[in-house]
Amino acid sequence: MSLTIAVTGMNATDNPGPGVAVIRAIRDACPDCTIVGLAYETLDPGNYMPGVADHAYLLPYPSVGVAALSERLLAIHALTPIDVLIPTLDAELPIWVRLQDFLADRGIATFLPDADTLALRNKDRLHELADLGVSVPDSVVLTDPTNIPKIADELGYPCVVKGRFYDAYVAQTAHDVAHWFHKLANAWGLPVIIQKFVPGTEFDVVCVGDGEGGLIGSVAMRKMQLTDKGKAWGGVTVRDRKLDAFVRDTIAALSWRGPCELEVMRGDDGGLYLIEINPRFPAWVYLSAGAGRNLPWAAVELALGRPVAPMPPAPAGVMFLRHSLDQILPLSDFEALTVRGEIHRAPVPEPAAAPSPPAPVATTATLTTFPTEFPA
Amino acid sequence: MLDHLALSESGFLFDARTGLTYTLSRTGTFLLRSLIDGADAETLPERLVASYDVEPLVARRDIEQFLFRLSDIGVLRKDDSDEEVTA
Repeated sequence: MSLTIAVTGMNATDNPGPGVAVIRAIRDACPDCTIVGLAYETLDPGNYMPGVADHAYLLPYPSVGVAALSERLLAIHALTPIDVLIPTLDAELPIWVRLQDFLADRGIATFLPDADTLALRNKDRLHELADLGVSVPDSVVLTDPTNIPKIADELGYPCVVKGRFYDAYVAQTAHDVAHWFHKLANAWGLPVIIQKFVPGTEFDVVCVGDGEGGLIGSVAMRKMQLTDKGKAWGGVTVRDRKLDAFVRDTIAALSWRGPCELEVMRGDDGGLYLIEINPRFPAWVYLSAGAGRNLPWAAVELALGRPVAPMPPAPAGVMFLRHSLDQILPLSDFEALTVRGEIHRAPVPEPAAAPSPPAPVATTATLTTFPTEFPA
Repeated sequence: MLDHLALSESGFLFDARTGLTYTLSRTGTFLLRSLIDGADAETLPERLVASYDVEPLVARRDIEQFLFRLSDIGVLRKDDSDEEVTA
């Protein structure tokens, strides 16, 4: 029986969501799978890209609440029964983690960490990983700017000022810290995290943990070119035994379950430091399939309870270069997602208990209401 | 062991630990290939003199500079240690 896999994060701009990359990897492993793209925005390009989602649906923003999100997902599930859900966005993860059992009871499998482990990777708690034996830079959690003068003694300069959810800036002085503190507090709320600056080279590692301390697979990458937001626009896989061991030990210390991205600095002192954990696949995860370690597919199989053998480390020297293109689409596609909240490029499955007549095949063509030509 | 280095015949060098790439000259490729294949750094001058039209003193001086440069950029750091190949 063909699987239906739902994936969120269909944004595909210069700061893309991981959804399209996850879907491409799954399609590589399972061409017959039905893919449901779940988007929060009608303009997310992944909704319209040919060969990506068979069905695309709009979801309410996570900030609307658990009830609205779960209700919408169940409505989608009734129309297009979902076997596995792979969420890919930071902001939605807490809700999906909370809903894991609820979804499982309704036949939707996930493979995610528990709420406590998810909370432990929060930026303001990263320093607690030191207690688990993970090497992390010293940091201070700031809620009161009057404590900024203490940073010189506690961490020294330069230091990194990080927002609670996003953004990080290097500060050279207490004046810099105060500037970024207020900017980040306004943008993301308190606390603001001040992290010791580690001079060195950053490596990003996509991983899947089995939840029992084991590492199913990982692919380490060095960014070769960046966007102006510091996001990878090209990279190459690397292989380093110390880094491999660091990743294995970190996943073991956390007993991480599911996908994640570790951001690791190799300091100029030769040490490795965990600077961040993103609790989902990164946007560059298709590189894992390219390197012969299809981690999104591993996550699907683990969600289904299938055994997945640990993968050997990925080979070094596999590159990716991201590119952008202009996706042409008929207005009717945009209409379908805007008005109905869904687009179908494949037949909608007939409900098992549905009486005749059979459900119509809903395609973008049948949804079209716009004239193809407009009067001058 | 310099097994973290992948060096092509064209002189394109990839450091698998750092992800960095370099382009080497013909003689640089010859020298680093010799090291990767297990040659002792002390034998490099005589190997270069045997294969290229170069004076021994010049060969020794240039190889010293070459190895210093490789060492400076971290290419010669052996896996899992800070031990480096020295001339």
